[in-house]
Amino acid sequence: MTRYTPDAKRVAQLPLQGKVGKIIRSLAKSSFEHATPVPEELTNFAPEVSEEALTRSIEAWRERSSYLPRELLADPVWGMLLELLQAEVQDRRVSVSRLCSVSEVAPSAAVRWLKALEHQELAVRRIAPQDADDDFVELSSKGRSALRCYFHDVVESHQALKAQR
Amino acid sequence: MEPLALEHTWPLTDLPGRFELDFVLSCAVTDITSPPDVGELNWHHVGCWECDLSDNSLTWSAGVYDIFGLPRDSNINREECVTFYCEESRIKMERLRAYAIKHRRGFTLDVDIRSAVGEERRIRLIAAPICRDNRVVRLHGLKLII
Repeated sequence: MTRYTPDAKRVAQLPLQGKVGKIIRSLAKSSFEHATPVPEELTNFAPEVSEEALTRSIEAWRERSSYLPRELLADPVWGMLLELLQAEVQDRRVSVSRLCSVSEVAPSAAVRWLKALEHQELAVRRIAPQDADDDFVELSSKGRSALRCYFHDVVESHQALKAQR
Repeated sequence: MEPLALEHTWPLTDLPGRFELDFVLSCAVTDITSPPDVGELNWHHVGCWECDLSDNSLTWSAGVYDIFGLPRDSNINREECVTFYCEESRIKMERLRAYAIKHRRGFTLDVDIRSAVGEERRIRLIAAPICRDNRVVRLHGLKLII
């Protein structure tokens, strides 16, 4: 049995059993990859993000409270993630205190959300060498990859589509 | 139609574990056993598949033919295959498929089909792209009756 192709040409290849065997081995290998490191190009895939798109997203996030009641819009994690990504793009550090202030919730709540980010392995806290009282926070490779892919796949592609119209 | 929830798609970093090993092994077992009749389901009703995006040609294991109610030696192309999907399911599948190819993501989706023998079946479609040079060249995955 050979593989069917739309133009009906029969391609001389592996018999179907051999081809199916290759697919099964490939799928099984993927299921075994729990035990092996995911290829670096997948974990560290982090496309470029335009600072302009990022700044517009931060402004849009902040401007919501100009239109809707602030108490309904608490979204501290998104604000923190945007701040961390912007800091990375601008090559600056973000202190824990700065991160809590941009989240626009009470400090105690902000600290809980920061711990949640760390628990989800999206952000990492680092000790500030000069200031023992204020650690700084940066995106983990997982958080960096996720956010940059989001901006690349969703935000910037929507903006590019809008620009074409 | 409601917007399709994005949780149906998943990043390739989540790939390990998406193809459950018992389903994968069942594909192999199904391939060497036969149901009593065309259109009937083997006791392992799961199959694996691959689609070459250069020409949309399909490679199916025996389980997929059983799921669609087709003889195991039948020729089928992708255009014919999608006609088995109920319309709403077909639309969802195509949207997720396009998204997966464009953004190099996998997806999981439960769909309704009407098999070639007229039976309505609900199947889980699990798909992941195979990339070369950051470009999706094939899709592969599992189909199983749920």
